[in-house]
Amino acid sequence: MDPDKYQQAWHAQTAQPKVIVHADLLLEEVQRHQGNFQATIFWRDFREVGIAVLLLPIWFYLGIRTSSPWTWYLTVPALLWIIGFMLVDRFRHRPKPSEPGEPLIDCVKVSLAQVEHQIWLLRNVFWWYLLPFCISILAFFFHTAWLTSSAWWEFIASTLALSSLLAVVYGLVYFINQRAVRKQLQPRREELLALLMSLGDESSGESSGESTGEPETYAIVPASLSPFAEERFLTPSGAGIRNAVAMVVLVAALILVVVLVDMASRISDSQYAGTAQSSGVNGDALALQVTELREQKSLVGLAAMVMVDGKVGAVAAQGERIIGSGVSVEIDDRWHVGGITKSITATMIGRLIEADQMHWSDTVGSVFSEPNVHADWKSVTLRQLLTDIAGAPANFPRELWSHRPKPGIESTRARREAVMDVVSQPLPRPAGQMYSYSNVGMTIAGAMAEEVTGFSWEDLVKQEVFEPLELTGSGFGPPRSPSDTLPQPRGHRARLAGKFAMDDDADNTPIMGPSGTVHMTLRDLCTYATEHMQGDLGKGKLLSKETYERLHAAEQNQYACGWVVRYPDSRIPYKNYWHNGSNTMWYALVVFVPEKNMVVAVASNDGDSEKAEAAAWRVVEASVSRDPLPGQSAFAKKSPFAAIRWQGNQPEVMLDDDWFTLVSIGDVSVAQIVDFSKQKYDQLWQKRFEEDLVEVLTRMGHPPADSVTLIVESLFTGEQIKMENVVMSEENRKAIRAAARSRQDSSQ
Amino acid sequence: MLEKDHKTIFTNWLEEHSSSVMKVARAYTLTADECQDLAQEILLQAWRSLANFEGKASAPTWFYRVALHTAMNWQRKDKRRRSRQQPMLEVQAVPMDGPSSAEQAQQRDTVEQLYQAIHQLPKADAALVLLYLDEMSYREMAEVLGISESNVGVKLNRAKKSLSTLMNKESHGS
Repeated sequence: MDPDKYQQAWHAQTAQPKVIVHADLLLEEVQRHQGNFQATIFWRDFREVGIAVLLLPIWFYLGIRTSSPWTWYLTVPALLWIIGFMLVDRFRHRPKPSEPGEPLIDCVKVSLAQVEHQIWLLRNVFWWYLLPFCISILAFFFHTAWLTSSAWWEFIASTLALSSLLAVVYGLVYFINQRAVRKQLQPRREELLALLMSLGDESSGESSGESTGEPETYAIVPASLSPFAEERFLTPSGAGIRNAVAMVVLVAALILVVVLVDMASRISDSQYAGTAQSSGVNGDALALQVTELREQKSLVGLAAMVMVDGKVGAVAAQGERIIGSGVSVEIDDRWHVGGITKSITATMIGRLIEADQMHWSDTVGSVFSEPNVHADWKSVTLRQLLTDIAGAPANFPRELWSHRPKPGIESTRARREAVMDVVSQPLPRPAGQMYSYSNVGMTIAGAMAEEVTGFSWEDLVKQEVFEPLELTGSGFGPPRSPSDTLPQPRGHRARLAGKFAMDDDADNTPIMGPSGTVHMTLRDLCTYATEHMQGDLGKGKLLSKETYERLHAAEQNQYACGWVVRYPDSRIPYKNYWHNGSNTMWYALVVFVPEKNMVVAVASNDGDSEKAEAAAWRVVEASVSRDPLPGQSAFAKKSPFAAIRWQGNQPEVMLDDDWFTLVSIGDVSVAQIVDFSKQKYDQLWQKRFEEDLVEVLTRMGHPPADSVTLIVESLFTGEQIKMENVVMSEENRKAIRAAARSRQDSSQ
Repeated sequence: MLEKDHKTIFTNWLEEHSSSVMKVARAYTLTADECQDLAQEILLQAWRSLANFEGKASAPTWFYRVALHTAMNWQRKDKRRRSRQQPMLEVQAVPMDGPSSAEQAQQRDTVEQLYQAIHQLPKADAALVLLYLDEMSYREMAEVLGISESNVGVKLNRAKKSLSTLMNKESHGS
């Protein structure tokens, strides 16, 4: 046959087919599509809400684990918002179950409504989904950058980098959502509209004609069905499996992220396992505690010293000078003490006051005669500055933080300039009315000392404090520690990704030196604190008893001149004076307990001040509650009196079954003993007088013998009687204690 | 291109060339059910492809290209997925008034022989033969297949020879 004949035959058999759609099958397909769509949306919502719920405990865990600031937790309300929004949206737009006899057109309308709602959600995804997280995350980024930056450019660079990363991630999320609208939802909507229109036309056509009894069919362009074709290939069960797998993968990925973050955090923590250095009678016990606390708190290095009666009872150090270096910290290392510097500055000023070069009542206006000193500042007194009730701002402007003037004249000039900038402005709050912690206030006090004497603050501190007390391990700024030899610890700053060693120059600006740039060995720090503790007893080397009393007298909020007065509580049952310091790279705490004649100092080269502080107070509590040192004699529990009762502040004692008014014990008058007890033991002074008379007298510098000489006054004749060789007995003390307990029980 | 234009193009093409859908489907399948399935798939793919239609080629050429591409990839489809599909679309052939019964029977036999021969040809040659039987020009064939017109001539001559050989065998064999 000729090929042309093939074409003839081929065309002869050509038939124009008719494309028809069975209505029942179309309805079934639309319903299946609707079900698949609903399932897809349901599983999407389930994933979103499920992940948000899972993130809540994870967010708290990560926040605690990384010691994140409060802004980290702003994401929690954002997560709660997402959960609530999606649940409410799902409730308000919950799909109605399809009825068996539901017309096709109604089913299409329901599908169309669902699609249009999803389009609305995705087009507005920025407002209800991305924006809450943007706000919380950006707040955290800015806050963290603010806390960890030491220079303005570092802050800007950090915030730009983090914000850019967030913008990229969320921009991608937004793009994906809008792409889903364009590529999937919008075409689907148009197809449903087309189908709806064609169904409407068919319905109109049928209503005008008679029913022919033939199966209901539609001559519909198959294009209307193209969105369904994709869905037909996946059954509902298959979609469920896919969504379940996706959910498992997402949860696994989330857990993996948490694990990775935790591992990174742990790796960045010091893994040093070297032996602690220790010395002193209780050195081993202290070393064990220091080691445990350092590991528990994941600190780079930790050291502590306990000094009793001016002698080292225990000292220990464990950890690394630089994280990962393997070089251990030592008990003679130097540590940046930060805000503890405040009391050192106040002590120096106390010396100037005793030398009549300064006065407690000196004012800013009287020292700085510049005309630009603001009227608010002129009447602010030196004592107000020293006790943080001057109303001064907390810190200097950030632009000063990175200034590094050299110690001496250069620092003095820069400090004065910064101070003048502050005092030329109005006070943030009225002076003398309210306590407000201030680094600026103490710095101004230091600048006043410089102005009056003509010496730099550094020189004044050395002349008036370091040299007289022979604090040879003290200086200014971080201790020098070259990388090749590492003779001293290095400060470490805590960042999101872990801890990093800082350079020797990393510190507060020398401008605020009077508030916080001193470094000391623990021995020096304890020696200094012991001086203050002994000073109240009139045994100080630097200052008079009266001056020390002024330095330790709190004005407001239990804050004295660089000391916080802490009264007995359940954790430390003795009155104590303490201060801590941190420049965000180091931490130090010093506490002196007059009743125990004890000083405890703890220091760390880790800027995680929360954890370092927790560790430090644990050391203090343990040291205070520890049994007396073997070398330290426990005070005898004895009394010369059979009983004691009080007439106001005047004790009456029982001797040989008669009551007398007590006048003196040995060379110490009762008035002196009462004054001392009140000063040292606060509300417990009478109890101490009655039950611990030996300790009280010993701490006053008059340890009693086994028998004492008493001068008493007869209650009947008023005659003073001298009683010699009155025996101090434990029986008397027990009787007094029993009587005190009886009074206490009856009062309850 | 506007959505409405797409629909118009598709509708017009369907009205004028829907018979080609059946022929292509039958040429690449062996059973009536498979033919029906492939016809549906071709129609759906044609609609999906409209979004990419830019008017550079004529509509018949474009859709013929889609049909052949779909048919040649038909065997790669997951048969299990197709088995779950319900025949929502039905393409019914409408009988036409034809010549005398004897001549009609002869032509019907010829067409059956043509289909059997096409089934034995390589897929590319089968496509050429289909286009030839539809009396497309060399230029149109070139557009559909994406080759040059001269190449169409060379390949078509070879395919026609193969077809003649197969038809002769079928004729002698019957």
